[in-house]
Amino acid sequence: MAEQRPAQPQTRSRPAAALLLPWVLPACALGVWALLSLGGLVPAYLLPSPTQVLDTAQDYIFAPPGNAPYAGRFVNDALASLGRVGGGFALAVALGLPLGLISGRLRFMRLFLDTFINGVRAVPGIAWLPLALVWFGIGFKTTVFLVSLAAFFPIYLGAAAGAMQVNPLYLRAGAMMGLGRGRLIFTVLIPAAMPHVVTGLRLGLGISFAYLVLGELTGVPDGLGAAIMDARMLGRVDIIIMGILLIAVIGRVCDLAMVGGLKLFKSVRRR
Amino acid sequence: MDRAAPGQYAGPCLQVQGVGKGFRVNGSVRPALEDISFAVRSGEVLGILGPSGCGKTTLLNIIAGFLPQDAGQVLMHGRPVTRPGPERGVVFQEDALFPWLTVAENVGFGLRNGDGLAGRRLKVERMLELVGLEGYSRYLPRAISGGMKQRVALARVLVLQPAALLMDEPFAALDAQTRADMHDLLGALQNQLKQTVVFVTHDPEEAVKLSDRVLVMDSAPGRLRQEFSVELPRPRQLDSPAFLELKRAILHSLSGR
Repeated sequence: MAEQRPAQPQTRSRPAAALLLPWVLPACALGVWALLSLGGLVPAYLLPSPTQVLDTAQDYIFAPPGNAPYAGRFVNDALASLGRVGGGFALAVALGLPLGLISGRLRFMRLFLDTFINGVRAVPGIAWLPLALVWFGIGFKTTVFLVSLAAFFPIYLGAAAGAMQVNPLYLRAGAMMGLGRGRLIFTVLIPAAMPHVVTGLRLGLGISFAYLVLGELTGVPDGLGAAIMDARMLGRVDIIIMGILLIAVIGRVCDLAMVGGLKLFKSVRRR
Repeated sequence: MDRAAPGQYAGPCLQVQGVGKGFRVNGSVRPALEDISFAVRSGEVLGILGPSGCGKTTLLNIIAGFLPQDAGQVLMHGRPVTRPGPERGVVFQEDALFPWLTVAENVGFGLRNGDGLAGRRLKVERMLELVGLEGYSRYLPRAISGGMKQRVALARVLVLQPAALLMDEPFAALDAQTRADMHDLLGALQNQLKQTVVFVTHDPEEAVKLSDRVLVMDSAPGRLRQEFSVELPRPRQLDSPAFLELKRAILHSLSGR
């Protein structure tokens, strides 16, 4: 055969730029922050310096608990917050994925669901907070409710868009090769919808952290959001900034972990 | 199963009987196919030729079981067709390989667990060899050319040993040289497998080159206009007088009203 064999683009080596580039913007932000606080442009009670926040973080993360108000609380707070995010996000996935896939494929289900779901979607999460407090009280249940409510919509919409845009030829090809309905869903429909599904999951996980903090602002004893809220009353701006940074780091790590986990699927890895 | 050996059934492989189909356009029904009837013998290559919009793809989709007909019926080994199935393998005009599967995984997609992993792998390897793609089993569809993709599309249905192979302008998107290569490949496979084939094309030369019989279709509504039997020795000589004459006659039938 005359055709040439192309190089197989399966393993790609990372050039130095790919390793460096993600850190440029964080480094710039750190530089500006250091300039503002260490240069004396903003007083320390409004913006503590990076070194001050680093000290606070060391205490918060590593010091034995009980030494100071925030000493050693990190593990407990982080676990509490992750439990709430995990619970709410899992609930949102369990509901949003199947409903989204169904409404993306079946017109009557789309007509049945879309008005209601998009109506509810228009209500901001904060508007649910008072109701959630009445229904579930302060703490785990309220936060899980808010997180799952918020994460549901992007997951649902991603799955619906993915299912709707599946190339109909793929489904015909699967049926022609003898697949029944059930196997068609798992071997053709879901793999083909995967890129949109992944986008929905990532947006959902991101918004989960936003609503986590909202749920924890209401007077729960533990959690990263609670730490931030307490700190405001105590005037500890360093704790607030540290909390924001920790949520950013944990959120990004969770996103990377989820994307990495999803790459175990061929339908994600190979596209 | 429908895939029973053709030997058990003496009649034609495929029968299309009085098939009609209309599509709803702005509230009124526009007829796309009217009273189409023909039969395909086992091992025969039937070309369906017609201008674009004549309903030939619709006809093929009905035979495949993708679309329900409004009138008439399609019989496969004497039994009515109601839905798609592996006894009627389809090669689509466009690239319809699963992009998340490798070449080998695409070819093995329809194979059932009955053969065991090793058995399935062996079948896939043999089929890839048959279509000239040995060594490409681990490539993804996006890394191979259009012609190679159509070879994979052919392999993934042939590996299921369909009673009939249905092809919807399978080579229309390929360049002239690749198309000629695919014609040769199909001829060689045909020689080896005695596969029953129904294919649709708008190219008279392709129809004469590949078919044992050519059906020419009318458009709006789609009807069978004329039937040509191609009794030329294979491989077909594209510049032989007999070939050219038949091609001219078919062209004339295609354009005449």
